[in-house]
Amino acid sequence: MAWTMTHRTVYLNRVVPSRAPMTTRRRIPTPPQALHDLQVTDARWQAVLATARDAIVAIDGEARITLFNPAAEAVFGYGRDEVLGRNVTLLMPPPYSEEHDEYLRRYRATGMARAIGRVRTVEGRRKNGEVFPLELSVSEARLGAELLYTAILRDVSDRRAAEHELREMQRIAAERARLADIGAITAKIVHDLGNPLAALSMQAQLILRRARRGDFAPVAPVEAPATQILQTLRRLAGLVREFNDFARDQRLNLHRIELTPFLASCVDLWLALAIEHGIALSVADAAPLPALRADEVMLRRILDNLIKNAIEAVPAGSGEVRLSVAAANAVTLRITVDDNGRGIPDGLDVFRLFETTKPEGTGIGLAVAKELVAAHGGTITHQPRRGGGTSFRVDLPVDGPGGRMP
Amino acid sequence: MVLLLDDDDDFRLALAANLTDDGYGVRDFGHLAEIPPLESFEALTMLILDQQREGESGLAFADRFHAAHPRVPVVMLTAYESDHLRAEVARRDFVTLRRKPVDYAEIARLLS
Repeated sequence: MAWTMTHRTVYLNRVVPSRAPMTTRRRIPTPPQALHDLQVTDARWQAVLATARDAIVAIDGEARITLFNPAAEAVFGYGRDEVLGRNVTLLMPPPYSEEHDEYLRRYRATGMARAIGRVRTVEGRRKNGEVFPLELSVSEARLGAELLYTAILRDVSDRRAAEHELREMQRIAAERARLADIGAITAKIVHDLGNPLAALSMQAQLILRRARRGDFAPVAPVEAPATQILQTLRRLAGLVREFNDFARDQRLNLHRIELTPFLASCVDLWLALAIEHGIALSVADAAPLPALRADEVMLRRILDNLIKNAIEAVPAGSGEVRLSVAAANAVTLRITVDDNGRGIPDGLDVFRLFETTKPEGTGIGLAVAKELVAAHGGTITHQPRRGGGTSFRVDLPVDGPGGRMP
Repeated sequence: MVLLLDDDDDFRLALAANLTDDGYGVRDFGHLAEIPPLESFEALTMLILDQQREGESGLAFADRFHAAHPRVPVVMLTAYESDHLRAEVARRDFVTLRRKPVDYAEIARLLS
């Protein structure tokens, strides 16, 4: 008695690589032993498929899925029965899905392979539509005229996320190191400039006080230049103070802050200057919000810098600066400072130290604001406003640094 | 009498001149080594000193001064105000911190 069988029958409807055509029938000289050997081989094959940590997907020459192991089910979210017989492009996002049939056709015509025999990183698409990175290696088997392809796919989403996180941490560490260097240099500059400035200021004050007291006659020729010297020195002192603020440590003293009255108090400090320049400075009404856990002094410095920046950016007489606060999501509060100024030129990183387009700008204020926002675990961004101007957004975790941000 | 201690001669002499113009007696020193024993000073109104100095820090000197003259207030001036310095000053209720440059009017207000 001779046994005859096809691969499809013996291998439980799964295609296995073989040099024999699928329709070829073989004569097995010792049927019981051969059947046993085939069953053992199949059992091993099934075990490999079932336990493989990588997704294994096989397709026929028409790109129909013929094998879909449990790991593939876990990776793609489809059950085996949902995908068997369907085109493999089901598992691909564009442009892969659109190019795949053409790729197969070209490969059959020219033998030029892009994927076979190498490991490529491509994108897959899960049943829920999520696109994710995966490593793909494809092998080819030929059954007579028929081509079969088996792909081993590894979901590398976690690795990609870890790599991204690592790169981000490296970027932050480099930025912190850069800022630490700048901070050390700045502290030295602040100290070395501060002392002679203090001396000049004290001497100018002495001249002015004596002039006003009548030690010089006439008073007016002395008083005016002495006043001017003092004003200039105060402006220089303000600059040094900004450097000092930048160089200072950024340890946080966290409290709960009601943002709406807090914004109003920040605006109050700038109202006189805004009115002087004919600028409308206001705070929008807000719905009730949870109190923000933050360092009040630092938050005030952030807003001072943003308000000052906005006031300097808008035209005198018709400028508008408006602050608002809202919940960006369940765990994040967003403070927005809108202006109708000239906008920010493309390519300018306004948060980088010493970057400024203003003739008398120092390029420190927004760099300080960014550092302080980062110290709170938040982000600061800007985007152009429709109709002109800029919108600065400060997103802060409502529970402070370490609080959740989506 | 105001005791003034600052190694920046230009600043110290200008502040001393302002104080003298206002009628205060001033003893000013640029270096620690020049200062007589602290117990030898009498009728002091205030100590004004700079934090950053060679050798003993302004805070350490202020502590020694306070031990000798517990009723005399201290004004600490600094060109670089760190959080650490602010915290240290906050622990000493006899010390007031001011950042350089400082308006003389502020010094006069503290003296009054």
